[in-house]
Amino acid sequence: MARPRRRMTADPPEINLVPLLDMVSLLIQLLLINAQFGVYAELSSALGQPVADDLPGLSLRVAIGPDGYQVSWQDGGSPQSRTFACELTPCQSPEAYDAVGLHALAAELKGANPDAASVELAPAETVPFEVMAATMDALRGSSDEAGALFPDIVLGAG
Amino acid sequence: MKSPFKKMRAKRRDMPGTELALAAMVDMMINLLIFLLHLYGRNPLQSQPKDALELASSRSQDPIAVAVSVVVSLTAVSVRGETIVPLESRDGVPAYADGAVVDRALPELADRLRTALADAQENAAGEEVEPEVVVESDRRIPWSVLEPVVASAGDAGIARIRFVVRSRSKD
Repeated sequence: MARPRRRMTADPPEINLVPLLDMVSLLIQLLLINAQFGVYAELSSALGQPVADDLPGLSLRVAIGPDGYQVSWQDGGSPQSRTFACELTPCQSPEAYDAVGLHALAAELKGANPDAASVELAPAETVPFEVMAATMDALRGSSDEAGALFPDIVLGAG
Repeated sequence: MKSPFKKMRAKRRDMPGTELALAAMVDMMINLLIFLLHLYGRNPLQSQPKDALELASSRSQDPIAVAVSVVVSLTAVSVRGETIVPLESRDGVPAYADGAVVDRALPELADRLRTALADAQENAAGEEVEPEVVVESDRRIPWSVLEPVVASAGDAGIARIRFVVRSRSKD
């Protein structure tokens, strides 16, 4: 009696995914440990010639001195200025600078001159960079389009 | 009489085999990996700022653009990890050595920036490169040190200066 023929079946080969998963998991952990989401940003500025007083427009200029801010601008051709001095002079720390007052004035000037976008920044030699950054923040306002005050910052001589 | 454990084992043998759907997990992991690599690829800072470099904080959320990077720490002005101009401490305030600043600029830095800009232009394969520089400055650096850096960039034909800051949430 003939033996029944057994059909040879070959199982499809399976890829062993476990080592691959191990490797990918380790790589993801490594990347997540080193990732610093949104920690760093930039403050953009430009080099340029100081805004001439006789140019039409706002010609806003902010001088940062050891005693505080000195803001000057043109109002219909007549020069205006305002001083934001620190309570104790010279300013004892970067937080002593009246960035809130400067921001309020910038908002007021922007309201009166909606097309103006540039401001000249003139720091004194002793002014540290963190004061410059705080001043840029106060002058730029919010980075979104609606809240932007003077986003074009030109660095000038103090 | 069969023990309850033997009954459970027999029952388990009868159940169809449950397999983990590893393919879906691999898909998800690879997507996550691509996302992270994309995130890293967009970071123009070649390395995280050193611990000794304290960046100023700002409300800015603007991402850092790719450009030639100049690091101004308390001890030196460097480009791509190479010290260009050393700084010395005068009464605890960083300052340049006498003779380092010529016409309000640093000639060595201007030369280096010109070279870097030319390299970037060459690598851009015909596309116009925006002349920009990214300055990673310590928050305590006074303008007397930063101004020659900015002026050197101007001498090298760079008009756009981007300062790297530590972003903080709006208050």
